[in-house]
Amino acid sequence: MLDAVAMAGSNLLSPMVLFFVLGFLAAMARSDLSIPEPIAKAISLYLMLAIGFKGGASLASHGVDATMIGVAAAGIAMSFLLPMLAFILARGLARLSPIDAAAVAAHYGSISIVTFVSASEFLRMLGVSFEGYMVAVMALMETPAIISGLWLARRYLQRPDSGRGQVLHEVFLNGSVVLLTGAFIIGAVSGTKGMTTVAPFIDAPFKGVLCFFLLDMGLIAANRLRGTRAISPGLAAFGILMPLIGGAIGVLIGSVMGLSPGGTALFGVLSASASYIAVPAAMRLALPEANPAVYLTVSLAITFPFNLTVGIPLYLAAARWITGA
Amino acid sequence: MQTHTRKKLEIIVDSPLVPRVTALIDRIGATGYTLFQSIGGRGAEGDWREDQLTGAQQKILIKVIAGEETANRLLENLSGELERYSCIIYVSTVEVIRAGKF
Repeated sequence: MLDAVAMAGSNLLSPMVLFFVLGFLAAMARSDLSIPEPIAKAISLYLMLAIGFKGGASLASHGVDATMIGVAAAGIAMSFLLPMLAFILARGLARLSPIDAAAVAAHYGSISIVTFVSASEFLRMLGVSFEGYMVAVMALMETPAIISGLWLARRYLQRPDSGRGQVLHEVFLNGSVVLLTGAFIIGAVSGTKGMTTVAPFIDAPFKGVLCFFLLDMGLIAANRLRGTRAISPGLAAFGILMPLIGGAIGVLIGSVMGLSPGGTALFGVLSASASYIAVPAAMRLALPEANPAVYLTVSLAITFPFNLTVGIPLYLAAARWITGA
Repeated sequence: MQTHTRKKLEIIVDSPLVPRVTALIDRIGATGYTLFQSIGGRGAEGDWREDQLTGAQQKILIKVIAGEETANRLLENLSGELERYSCIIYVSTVEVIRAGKF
C-alpha cells in the first residue's frame, strides 16, 4: 500500500506530468502560452515514429512467442468489445443519446498513444521491464473499436450508410496507424543495429520531446474544459469510471495471458485509455450526427488527465498485486 | 467596367467532411472552389480553436462561385445530403469580371 502511494507520488512529480500540469494551469489562467499547431502535429508524428521503431527493434531482439500472439488477439478482442460496455455506461450514467454514446464508445475501445508512451516512460523510470511488442498490440487496438462504434450507431440511424469506402480508408490508412505500424516494421526489420544507428534521434531526445508534447496536451485539455458546454456531471463520472473498469479488465486479462507485471500494467493502460487522434476524425466522417464536443471533451479533458496523473500508477499497482510481484 | 452577376456560396464545415463537399461540387459541375483555414470561434456547442490534434473539429471555409442554376443545384444537394453535418452555408450575389471563368 505504502509502495503504491510512493509510486503515485513519483508519477505526479515526474517532469512529464509536471509539464502537463503547467500547460493545464497556464490555459486555465488564460495565459497566451500556445504551441503552434504544425509543431504540435510534428511532435506527435515524432512520438509515433519513435515508439513504433523502439517497439519493433525490441521485438527483433526478443523474438516472437506464443504469449505475444495471445496478447495481440486479446487486444483486438478488447478493442471490439470494450465499446459495448462503454455504450451501456454512456447511455445509463452519462444519459447520452444513442448516437453520441456510440461515438464515445468507439473512443474508449481504442487507445491513446500518449498515455501509453507516458506509462512506458513511468515504468522505465521505476526500472520495471515490459514486453517490447506491447507497441504492436497498441497499434492493433487502435481501429477495431471504430467498427464497433459504427455498428452500435447503425441501429439508431435514420439514414442509409454513406461513404463506407471513405470510412474504411480513414480507419486503415489513418496517418497514426500507418506511421506507428510502418515504424514498428522498420524497427523489427533493422533490429538492434538499426536502433544503434538512429538512437541519437529516436532515443536520446525522446523524454524531452514527450515533456514538450504533454505541455501542449495540458493546454489543449484545459482549453477544451474551459470553453465547453458539453460536460455534465454524469459524463464526467463516465470519463473516470470507464477507464477504471477498462483498466481493471485489462490488468486481469494481461495477467491471465502471462504478461510480466510491466506488460500487464501496459495492457491495463491500453484498455483504460481513450483515443483522441484517430477515432475523432473517423467519427466526424462516419457519424456526423454525433456531437464532437461531447466525445472530444470527455476523452481529452477528463479521461486523459485522469489516466496520466492517477490511472497509470494505479494500473501498475494493480498489475503488481495480481501478478504477485 | 462590364461585370457579370454570379452566385457565391460559402460553406463552413469540419475538415474531415471537406472531401465529401468538394466531391459534390465537382459532381454538380462548378468550375472550382477555394478552401480557407480558420483559427477559432464560438458556436452552439461552445468555444473552439484550432489546436485540436485530431482536426476533427477544424473548420474549413469553402468558397464557390457559380452561375445561378449551378449554385441552386449545389445548394439543394448540400441541404439534402449535408444537413446533419452541422455545417453553415450562405449565399450571396457577386459581380465577377471574367464571365467565362464561372
